[in-house]
Amino acid sequence: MTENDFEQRLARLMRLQSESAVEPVDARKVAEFAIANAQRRRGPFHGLRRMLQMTVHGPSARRYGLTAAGVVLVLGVGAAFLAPRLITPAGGTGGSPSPQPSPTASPSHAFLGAFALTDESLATNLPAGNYILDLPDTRYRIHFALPEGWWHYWPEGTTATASDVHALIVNNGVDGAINHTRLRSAWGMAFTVVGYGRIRNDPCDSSAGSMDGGFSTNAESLAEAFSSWAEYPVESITDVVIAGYAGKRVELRREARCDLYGLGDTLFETPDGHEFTMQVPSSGPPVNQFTFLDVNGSVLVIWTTDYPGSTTYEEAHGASPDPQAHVEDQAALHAILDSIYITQR
Amino acid sequence: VDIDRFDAVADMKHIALGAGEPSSVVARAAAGDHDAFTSLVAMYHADMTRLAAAIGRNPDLARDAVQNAWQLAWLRLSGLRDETKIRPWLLSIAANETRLLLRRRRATEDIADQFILELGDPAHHVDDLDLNAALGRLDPHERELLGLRYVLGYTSVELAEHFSLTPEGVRSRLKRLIDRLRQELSHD
Repeated sequence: MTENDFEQRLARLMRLQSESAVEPVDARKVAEFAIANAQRRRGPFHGLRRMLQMTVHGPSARRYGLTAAGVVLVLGVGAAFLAPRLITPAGGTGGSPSPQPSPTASPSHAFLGAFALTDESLATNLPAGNYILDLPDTRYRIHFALPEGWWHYWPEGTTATASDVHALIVNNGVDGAINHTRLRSAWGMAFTVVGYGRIRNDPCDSSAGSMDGGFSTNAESLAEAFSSWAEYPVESITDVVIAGYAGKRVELRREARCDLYGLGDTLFETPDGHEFTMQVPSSGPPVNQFTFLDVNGSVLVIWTTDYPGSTTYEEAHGASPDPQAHVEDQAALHAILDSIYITQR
Repeated sequence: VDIDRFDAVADMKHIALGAGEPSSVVARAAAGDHDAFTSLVAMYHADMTRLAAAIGRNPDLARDAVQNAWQLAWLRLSGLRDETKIRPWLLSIAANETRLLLRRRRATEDIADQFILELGDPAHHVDDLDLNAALGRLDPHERELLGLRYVLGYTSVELAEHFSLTPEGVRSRLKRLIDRLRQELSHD
């Protein structure tokens, strides 16, 4: 039998068998059943992922807003750039003096007159200046300085005050992050927290459940949990000290085979159920950074997209592929991270 | 029963044909339009089931996997970057859900490979039994490749896109797989 004959025989058999599984169905019933079950599956807070997804097609401001929030979250980790400045000698890369993990309040007068990031009136291009952020259910306050050209977003279904996810995304100049309806950027950083028992066992399989809640209780175990995913291999793990607080920075690479739907997959959820995925460049390694800091008994997560190059999200929204995009933004991102300090509240 | 079957098929065709261009249907479905989503089901449900069956080799499992796939599709449709890619996107979801369901059910119960030879040319029956058994021994990813190629007629370019390979790479992988199957049958 020739190879061609064999292929024909194989095709005939496979078609015959596959066809036997096809039954006429009521498309409406299938669709409605799927929609009803999807709503249950999604839960009340689908937040960030939904935002990312909806902006692709959604003409409404709400959809674009959601996308922005998703993007911001992804960006937040970006500690890679921090390495030279913030990593302790124990981290192996540091050339800087070893910062002591002795969290003491920086001079508060430095931030007198600071903007509250949670002020919803600032849901537009943020004025350059000093900002404060209080995440819900935490006992600390985050301070940082922003240059011009950044934008604040929080997930759909919540308010700026109540949100446990706050993203700072850069105005990429395509359409600007002028308002919720025109958001086209997908690059920046976010501050958030991991929900107890809400780290996925397998980011590629939502049905595989979540890890034991203990993994979310400190930076060390979070780093361990984030290092356990086969399809999100670790590029690096380093010790960091930011604003006097010690922690871990994990750099993850997203394997393409896990991203079957072009959206990335959920790594973890916040206490309010906002799902975190990754935002990757179209060129260069698909890497994001997650920094975990032990702060006053809880773990602050900073997520960043610290890489050059346009993101797949931006290109889907009309940006031309540009491996040099965001090079200057990286400097700004580093400056924001360098400016962070934390006080008790 | 036959009349019911024909009516159901006709209804699906009517829904699909009345829905407009696939890309506009995708946009409407992504915006939350249930009718548009129903049209997508009418257009692609059968192909998704064919692929799921080729991978899972169990009609019941294939149908369950495709139903799961539609749930995911509804949740994630608005994230589809290129509306013209709706068919491969849905097929990817169906394939993934089939593999997940296969893995999950095999972990908890004995999933029978239910494909037996009920039809076809009796003259080929014995040979097909061997081929059928060989297909059952393949990895689900390998059956996915064969299903896309021989059941759904994917070109090497389409296969390359689906598996994130080059067309040359996918042709090479397909050839190796066919060679292996032929070799197995020659040994049987």
